[in-house]
Order: sequence, then structure tokens, then C-alpha cells
Amino acid sequence: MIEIKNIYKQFDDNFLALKDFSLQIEKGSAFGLLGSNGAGKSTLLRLLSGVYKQDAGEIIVDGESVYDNPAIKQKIFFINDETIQFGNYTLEKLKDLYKGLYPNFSDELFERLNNKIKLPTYKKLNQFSKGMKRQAIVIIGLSCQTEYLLLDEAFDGIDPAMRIIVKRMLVDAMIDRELTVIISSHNLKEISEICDSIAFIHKGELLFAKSIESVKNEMHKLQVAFSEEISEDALAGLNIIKSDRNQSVRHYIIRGNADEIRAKFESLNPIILDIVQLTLEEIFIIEMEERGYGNDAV
Amino acid sequence: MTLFKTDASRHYFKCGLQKNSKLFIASIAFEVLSIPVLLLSVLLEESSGIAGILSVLLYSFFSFLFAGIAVILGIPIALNSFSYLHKKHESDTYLSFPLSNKQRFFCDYLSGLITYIVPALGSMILSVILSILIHIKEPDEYVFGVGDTDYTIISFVLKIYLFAIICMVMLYTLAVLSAVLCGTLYETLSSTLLINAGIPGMIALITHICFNKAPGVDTGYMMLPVLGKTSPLGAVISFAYYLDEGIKDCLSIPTFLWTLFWLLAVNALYILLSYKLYTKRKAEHTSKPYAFKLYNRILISCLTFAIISIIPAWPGFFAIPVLIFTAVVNLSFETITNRGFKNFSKSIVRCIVTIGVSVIIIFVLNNKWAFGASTRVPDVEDVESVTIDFYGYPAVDGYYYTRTVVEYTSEEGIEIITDIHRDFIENYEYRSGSFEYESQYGYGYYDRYDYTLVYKLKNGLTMKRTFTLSEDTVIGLHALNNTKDFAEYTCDRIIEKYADTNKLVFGVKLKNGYDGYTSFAIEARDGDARYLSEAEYDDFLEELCEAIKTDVDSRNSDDIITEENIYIRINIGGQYAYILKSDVNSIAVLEKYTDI
Repeated sequence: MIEIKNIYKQFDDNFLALKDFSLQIEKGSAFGLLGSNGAGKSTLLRLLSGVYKQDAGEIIVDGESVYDNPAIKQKIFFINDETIQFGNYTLEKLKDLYKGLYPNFSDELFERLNNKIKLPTYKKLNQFSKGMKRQAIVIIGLSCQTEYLLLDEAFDGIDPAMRIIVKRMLVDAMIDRELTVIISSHNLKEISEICDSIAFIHKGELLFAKSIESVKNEMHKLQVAFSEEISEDALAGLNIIKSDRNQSVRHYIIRGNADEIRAKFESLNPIILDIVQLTLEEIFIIEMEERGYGNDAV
Repeated sequence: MTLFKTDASRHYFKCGLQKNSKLFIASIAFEVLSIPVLLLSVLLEESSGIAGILSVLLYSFFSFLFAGIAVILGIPIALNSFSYLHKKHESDTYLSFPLSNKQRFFCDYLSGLITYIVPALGSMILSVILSILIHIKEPDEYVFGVGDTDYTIISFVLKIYLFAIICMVMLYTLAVLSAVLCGTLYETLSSTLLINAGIPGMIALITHICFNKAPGVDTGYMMLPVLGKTSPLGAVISFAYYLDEGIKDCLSIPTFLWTLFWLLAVNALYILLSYKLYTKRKAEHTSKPYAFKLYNRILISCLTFAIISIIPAWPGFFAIPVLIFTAVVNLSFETITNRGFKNFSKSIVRCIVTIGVSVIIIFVLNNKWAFGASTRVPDVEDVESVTIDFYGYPAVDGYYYTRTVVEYTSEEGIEIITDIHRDFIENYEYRSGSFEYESQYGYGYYDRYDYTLVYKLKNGLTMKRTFTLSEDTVIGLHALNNTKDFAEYTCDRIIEKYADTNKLVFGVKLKNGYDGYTSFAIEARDGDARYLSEAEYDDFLEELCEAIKTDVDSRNSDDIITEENIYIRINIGGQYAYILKSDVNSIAVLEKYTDI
């Protein structure tokens, strides 16, 4: 289990990347980190992998601090968002590098995974495409058989067909050996497909950390039409985040319990009432808009 | 070794060696092409004349060029070993590896060091083997004299290599230190050059500022002990100085080992400093110019200090342009470091403070008396020995032609020297920046004599003083000719010159037609030679030396070398030793064995 307790991380230019940040991630879960650019997601992953050292607070993995702790770092594999490292290495050589560093590395698993994506093992990585490099490091990371896998924009550059295979590999590892996956990605569709929980980070602060299901159940999109005009007071008590109107059809984004919202609207005798579950992407955009992020552009 | 207690660290170390493999091959190539090939060409020339002496001389240029490149390779090797400190895309990966900071640092340090030093060690072994072969072929030809000792080519090559390798280790360590202190490749490279030049440069500068006005103090000699231990460049400069001067026998085993020990000890401190800073370094400093702001400030401050130190040399109006130039340089570096004019007002404040503090420090240090150092004369009981480089034997025409370097260990000799030294300090006159005695001839050139004293103190320190004496004062040093140490010196020279000459021929010349003085030379002269057997000759030299020692011991203060007092002079190689009329024992030996 990962316990992040009241951490602060500030950079030299006085930029406070994480502020009094606390989070708990259960073992075996698939956890998504959401947030705008510069929210602190990558910083958090670097702290979790022991690359950065927090200025204050604690990061505890399986009961021990991560920073400068090889025993704990052996349980964690971090894939960052870079693709230009180890360009002179072949996949075979890269495998040998990691094999010596991670004691649970499985050649058999590596072969099995590579058979699925068929990357050339004796070609230098600088001759690989961006997507191929990402696939290479993902199968290396999975073959290390660590308990925690941290992915920062890991699917960036991978084509849709290969994404499905890579995602399957992740899911298989989660099922087979209770791998804990923490993903930071702007591709919310993927996060919603893989993760069971998410944390929403904004300007270095944790806004919430919940299961995806509960996040989706907390916000709803409604399409409603009434035979006659209703007063705004009739909707009092509802937490309406957004509303607009197209002739007689009204659209609402409302935070709250779906049954209660439905009951409220049905009491007003609508001629049309559709309640649609929002996608994670829509929820993300709405949350960001609420916090004034990119209001002009979104 | 706890460093390699885990499989991961062992594996990471091996990977470090692989990472440097191309540089390793390059290093081997340059190392082999340097001294070993030069020695091979010497051997071939000596064996069969295949190489040709011109080719050997021509190749020596390339040999030293390749040796220089092999040495410089230490910098790229250090940078390659710690590449992740300057490349953001590598830092995440390397720092997330399951290694402690300690394991990662020392694995990288050692893998780079092995890449750098193993080829040098191989080159040393090859060179020593070739030196042995050259020595077997020409045992007498390749002999290197340093001080009073001759070294065979084997010993010379081995010691020079060992010294060079230790200096290379220090160069590599300083490059690692720079890599840790900086966040980009450009800053690391410039910092490596600045550190290597800056350490000896600042030592030289501060010593000069402190002692340049101090009478008698040899600033060069003063800085050498520190200079020779703190940086590779300083070590090479001081070692070359000692080799050239031969004052301090730098290749004798105890001195040489002591030098290596100090270099290794200081190097260990640099490693420790690098490691401590490495553990303090933050990953986010990668790709920033400097990982530690303080380091940047130190660099800029040293540069500012160095420029301002020109002012005392040319005071007056010249100070203003120097201050303006210093401010421009200081602010330029601030701008480069800040990558623009960000916080420029703060830069201006820092610039003013740095210049102000530098000016104060320079004017405090630039003390005429060097805080008492220049006037210090050691107590006799604190001195183990004192070597004086002076005109020991005056010529009979009243001038002093030949310099003599004599080591005095007797209390009597040391006391005479410290008295003269004290007298100099008490009577020195400061005039137009030069320090000298006022003599009856004024400050003319021809009546001045340079004297150098090197005290070896019982606490292990050495102290060198150089001053100029007038002829009048030199007379006071004649008492040194009547000491046991000087007698030993004279006998050593006699043995050195005559012991290995043709022992069957012994000649005397009673009258010297050139200057009309009775003189004596142990060399064959037609018509006035006496032939001694080998055994007689050895006895003669031994008895003469014993007699000289006895006579010198019994001389009194009136027995000084003057025209009237001289009985005979002995050529001892470039100068003369004198037997006085009062030296009855020496005269008896001469009469016994010669026709004098």
C-alpha cells in the first residue's frame, strides 16, 4: 500500500508543485492521476519512484520510506514520459540492463509479451518509432514484475491497435499478480478503461480521490423538455453546475444522486427526460471549468 | 565491500563499464601511442638504429601530444559516467533504479575511474618493461640526475608514471565534482576547466597578494607545498619545479611517497566532498546551470577577486577602469547564469557586495609584513637543517664567482645563518619596492650578491628566504667556511671529483703562471707529476679529508679566506677549496703525498 502524508514539494523557482498532499493507494488497484498541465501529477510520480525527495511529509510504500531505499525501489517501476533515452541500446541489451537491477525479472514473461507486439530485439532503440519505444519500456517494466508500476503518459505515441494489446498486458498483470498501477494520462478514456480509482489534482492540491464509479455517479447530464414554462425556483435544491437551452429542450449538468434528480424532474411532469452518465473526460472538463482553468479556450 | 553487496549494484557497476567502453578503447589507443611507443623507438634505435634518432625526436612530440589527450580523456569519461546529472531524460530512469545514492555514486565513480586509469596502468607496465630493456642495452646512457641523486630510466619512468596517474585520478575527481555541482554539460565543462585552473590560480594569487611586499619571502616557494597538493595542475607545476631545481629531492623514495600520499589524501577529500554534494543534489537540478547556487557565487566571486587583485600592482587612477571592468565581467556572468536579465537588480547588489568585499580582503592581505611571516627568523633549536645557496668560496681576486649549495645541520652553522638572517631583517631598507642592503657602493648592481636560505624545520615545514647582500655583509658569511658542515661539503666535493679519476696518476702544480698564486690540482701535468699506487691514492684522499675536517674545526674567527691567509687552493670542479696557512694537518698530508 502507498501512503502519501501531507507532502510538500517546491522547486527552486518557488513554484509549489505539491501542497499538503495526502493520498492512499491500495495494493492491487489501478489508480489514475488526473489534472491539468502543471498540476503536479508527474512530480507525484517522481516522488513515488524515489527520483524526487519531498520537502516535507512522508511517502510510505509497504511501511517504508521510498527515497534512497533500494529495497522499496525494487518494488517500483517508473516509466516516464521520455522516449529518447538508451537510444544506443538494443531491446536485448535494455532487457539485460533491467534484468540485473530487478531481481524478479522474468525472461519468459518478456518473451511472451514481446511475442504479442513483436519488437525487434537486436535493433537499436534510436531506430524505433516513438510508439515502439513506449511499447518496449512497457514490456520491460512488466517483465521486471515489480509490485508497483508507475506510468507517466505511457500510451503516448502508441497506435490504437497496439494500445489495446498493451492495455491487456496491464490488466493481465493486475489480475495475475496483483500489480498496482498508477497512471498519469491526459487520455481519460484510457484511464476510465483501466483504472478503478482516480485522484484529481489541481495546482498541487488533491481535490478528490474516489472510485471512478462514484465520480461518475456524482454528476449527471440531463436533457429535459416541459410542455409549459417552469420557474427556476422549481429546480431549487438541485446542484446545477451548468445549464443551457435550445428552444424547448433544456440541458443540465447536475451534481447529486441520480434517483433524487430524476424524482425532482419527474415531479415537474416533463415531456422528455433523459439522464445520461457523463464520461470521465466531460467530468474532467467541467471540474476544470469550475476552477477557472482554460475558461477562454474550453 | 558494502558498496557491492547487492546484485543490483554489482550489475549497475558492470553496466557503467560497458557505458564507457568506447572511451576505454580510445584511452587505450592514446595511452599506448604515448610513452610506450616513444620508448620502443628509443629501444629500436639503441638496438639496431632502425628508428633513427630524428624519428625518435620527432615522435617525442606526438608521444606527448597523445599522452596529453589520454590525460584529458578523464573529463569526458567523468561526464559520461554521470551523464544523467545533465540530461533530464536520463535522470528519471537512473534515479529510479533500485540503488541507494551511495551505491549509484560510487559505482559511477569507480566504473569511470577504471575506464580512465586501467589503460594508464597498462601503459605504465609497458613503459617499465621497455625501460628495463633500454637499461639492459644501455645501462649508463639513460640516467636522470635530480638533486644529488641519479635515477635509472626504470626508476624515473615508474615514478613519473605513478605521479601522473595520481594526478589523473585527481583530475577525474575534480571533473566528477564539477558534474555534481552543475546541471548542464556546458556548465560542467566550463566548471571543470575553472576548478582545475582556479584552485592553483587562487592559491598563487592569494600567496602573491599576501607576500609580494614581504622582504626576503620567496612567494613561489611559499605556495608550492599547497599548490602541489591541491590540484593536478598545481601538482605538475610544483613537481616540475622541484625536478628542475633539484633542491628538494622529489624522486627520493620518502619524499616521493609523501607527495603521493598527500595527493591521494586531498583526492580522498574531493571524493568525499563530491559524494556529500551528490547526496544533497536534487533531481530537479538536472538541466539547470548550477545545482548549487553557492557554487555559482563562489565562481563569480573568485573571478571578481582575481581581477580586482590587479589594483595593488598599479594603484592610483588605474583602479577605476579595473573596477568598471570587474563589474562588467561580474554582471555578464550573472546574466549568463540567470539566462537573461531576470532579477537583475539583485545581481547588481551582489556585484557591488562582491567587489566591496574583494577590495577589503585584498587590501587587508596585501600587508607589507605579511602578518609577521616576512620578519620571522626561526630559533636555532627549531631548525633541523638549513640549506644555503651562496657564494661559499670567494675568489682570491676579491669577487665571488661560484655559487655553493651547502646543507648545514650543525648548531654552529645554523646559528651563524640565523644571525645573518636576523641582521638582514633588522637592517633592511624598503626602497622603490626592492629590498637590499645599503653598501658602501650604494645600490649598484655589481656589488650585490643573492643569497637563498631554505630552512627545514623540526615540525616538518620548510621556509625559504631570498635576499640580496652587499659585499660588506658577505664577509660575515665567511664564518660559515669554518664550520663542520662546510668541511664536510668540501670533502664531499673532493671525493666526488677525484675518487673516480685515474688513480695511478697524481700530479701537482706548484706555481700557477696565470695568476701567480700557488695552486694545486689533482690532474696529470707533464713534468711535475708524482705517480701514486691505487692504494696510496685512496689513502691520500682519505687523509686529506680527515685533515681538512680537523683543521676547519680548529680554525678561529681570524682564519678567513683572504689573500694573505691562503696556502693553496684545490680545484673541486667549477670552484676552488682553500687550504689556509693555519691548516697544519692538511698541509702535512699534501707534503707527504705530493711534491708541493
